[in-house]
Amino acid sequence: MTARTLQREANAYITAVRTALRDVPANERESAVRDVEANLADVIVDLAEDAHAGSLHDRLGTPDQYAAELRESAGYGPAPVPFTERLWGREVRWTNVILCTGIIAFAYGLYWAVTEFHTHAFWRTPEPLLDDPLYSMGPAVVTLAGAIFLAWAVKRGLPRSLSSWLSRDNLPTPVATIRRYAFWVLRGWSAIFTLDYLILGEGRLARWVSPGAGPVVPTEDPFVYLTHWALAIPLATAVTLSIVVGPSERSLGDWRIFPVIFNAILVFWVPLAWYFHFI
Amino acid sequence: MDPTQLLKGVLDLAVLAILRDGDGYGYDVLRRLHLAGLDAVADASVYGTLRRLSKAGLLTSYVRPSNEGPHRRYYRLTKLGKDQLLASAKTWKAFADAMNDLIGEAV
Repeated sequence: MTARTLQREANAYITAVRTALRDVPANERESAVRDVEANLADVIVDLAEDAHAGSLHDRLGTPDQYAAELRESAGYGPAPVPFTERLWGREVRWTNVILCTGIIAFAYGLYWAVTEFHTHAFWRTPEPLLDDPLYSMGPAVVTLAGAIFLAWAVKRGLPRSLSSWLSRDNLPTPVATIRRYAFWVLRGWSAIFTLDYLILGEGRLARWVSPGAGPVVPTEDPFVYLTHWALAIPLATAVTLSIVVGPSERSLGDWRIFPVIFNAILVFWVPLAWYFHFI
Repeated sequence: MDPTQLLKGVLDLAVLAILRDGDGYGYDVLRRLHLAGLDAVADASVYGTLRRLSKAGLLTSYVRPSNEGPHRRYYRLTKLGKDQLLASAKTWKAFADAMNDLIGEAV
């Protein structure tokens, strides 16, 4: 395992331990996390020297196990029991309610933004969108509200299974690497198509970036970017940005919920919507 | 018998004994414990124990830069820590003697 891969794994690990200790007073928690950083730096040196040493998880256990041991030995007391209440005869975990509200609002806000701007771009609405506060501010307000609920859920602590899924970093096998790069390419492509055709409309960005491309037939064909070398410039830029940003998303820990939803909209919903013509 | 359960009861004493031989940072204390034969000690347990003993006044700490990453926090036994080490060592020896007498014929 390369030092870079290990460092990325360590960043995700530290974030996950910090999350698991979220109930510990901030000063004490950050001081403890600095110890974890020092510990992981030493472990990485050991692992990098030994080709058969395995991953951080093999060596230290999961971040939750590490945090539980640290909590017990440092005398922080047990982790708080999730706040639940009985509602209509069923036990409700409020963090899950907040999380679900956040996911729905954030995803719907993004969806609404794309469809709203698409309608405007497609029909070339004569009045500027800002004239109608509902249509101009609606998507922004819903997305922002969703983001606030998501941030609230992250601060309270996401469900353990979701948290460990967000922090996991698969071993860099060739298949996993190819899959990851394919995803980033698709995301970049979908992003530029969404921005250029569905939001701005008629490939305005492509024509602005690449005036030498000649007249671009108004179309909603994502493959138009492959028809002329100059149109490949915005595509290449978006794909490059997507690939550059990609690796750092793993180190966000629970905050990775934001790019995950954003990616889901961009990589799954937009192509599906385009294919079935429901936007 | 699970050695990790046994270790929980004596890790404070083991850490104090390690630091009696010289100041050390977390990973260094862990290595010295492993070298002493206590392989089952986990990283997080050592770091947490050092923090708790330090808060209890048994250890003091100071920070030194490291070439291999973040600054390292070194720990040193205080007078209180040395007294605690002595008292805990006596308790342990009495306990170990009693246990050895008890199981002596079984092995």
